[in-house]
Amino acid sequence: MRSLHVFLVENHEDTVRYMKLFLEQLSYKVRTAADMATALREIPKWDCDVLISDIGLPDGDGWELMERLGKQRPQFAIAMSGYGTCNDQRRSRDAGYDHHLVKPFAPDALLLLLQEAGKQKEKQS
Amino acid sequence: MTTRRKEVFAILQELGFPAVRVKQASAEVIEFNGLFSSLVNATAPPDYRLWFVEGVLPHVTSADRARWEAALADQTPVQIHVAFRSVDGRTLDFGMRSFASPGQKKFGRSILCIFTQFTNPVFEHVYKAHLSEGRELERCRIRDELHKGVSQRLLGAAFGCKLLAGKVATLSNDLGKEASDLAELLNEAVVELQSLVHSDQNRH
Repeated sequence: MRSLHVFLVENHEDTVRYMKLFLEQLSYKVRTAADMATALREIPKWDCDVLISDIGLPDGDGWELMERLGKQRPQFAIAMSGYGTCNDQRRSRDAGYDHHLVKPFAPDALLLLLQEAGKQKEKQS
Repeated sequence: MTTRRKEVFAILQELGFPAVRVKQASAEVIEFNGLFSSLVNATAPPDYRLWFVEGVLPHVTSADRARWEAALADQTPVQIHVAFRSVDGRTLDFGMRSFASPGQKKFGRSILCIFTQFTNPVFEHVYKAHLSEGRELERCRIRDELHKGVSQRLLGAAFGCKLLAGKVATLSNDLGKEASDLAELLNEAVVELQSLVHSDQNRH
């Protein structure tokens, strides 16, 4: 079974760099975008299993990204945000995200969610 | 921060405005955004308006008072300029200015000039009305800076450290264990900061 394909949308340079390298070390295939426009262009071109997206993006937000992806959105999606009020979490759920991680979060928290995504994909296949 | 702004901040703190944002509009005037808006804002609580009428208007020249009353009646936005005098009567070298709109019309030319003493009870009212707003602004500022600065960098560092721990572990078990402990320490710091930021958000 192939490793999970993860698309990461984050505009903080250091964060995206280390997240990508860390996930690749664990054998995930990772592609990245620093803004919504790039993500909208690249995600449909790739057979992507998981979307991990920051909510605050320079040209929009993670909620709009999900809405505009429509049917092209990946099976499993994780929102990341510095804001974690009930309203923020509800908006993420309503937009179609399976989880809303509040920054800063421990890398292990992300790994648990990716494991959940992996199991979900396994069941479906 | 310029010396002049430092002086103004010192006086503001004396008045009880530790967190109100100010900007220098000219050599003589400091703008206080929103500070005095509630005084003439049609949606402000009636008691604000009352103490403004009772506490401030007696200090206003008759011409300025007539201008203000006409602006309020006509719902014309008002520019308020407050100049301070110290208790011993000396005029301090800065003023306060704010734009306020009692109605929906665009900003007009009405200017209300108020010369008032530091000891005027009006400041106590302003203090009470705006201190909580100042605290709120300060909380928001800290939360935003935690998010944009510290937490974002810490997140990158936590992932970087985990990555490094994985690489070092392939070279040496001992070093790998140390790197892993360090990554765990950073993990805990991340979780603590997250709970700090999040608990502040829950207060809102």
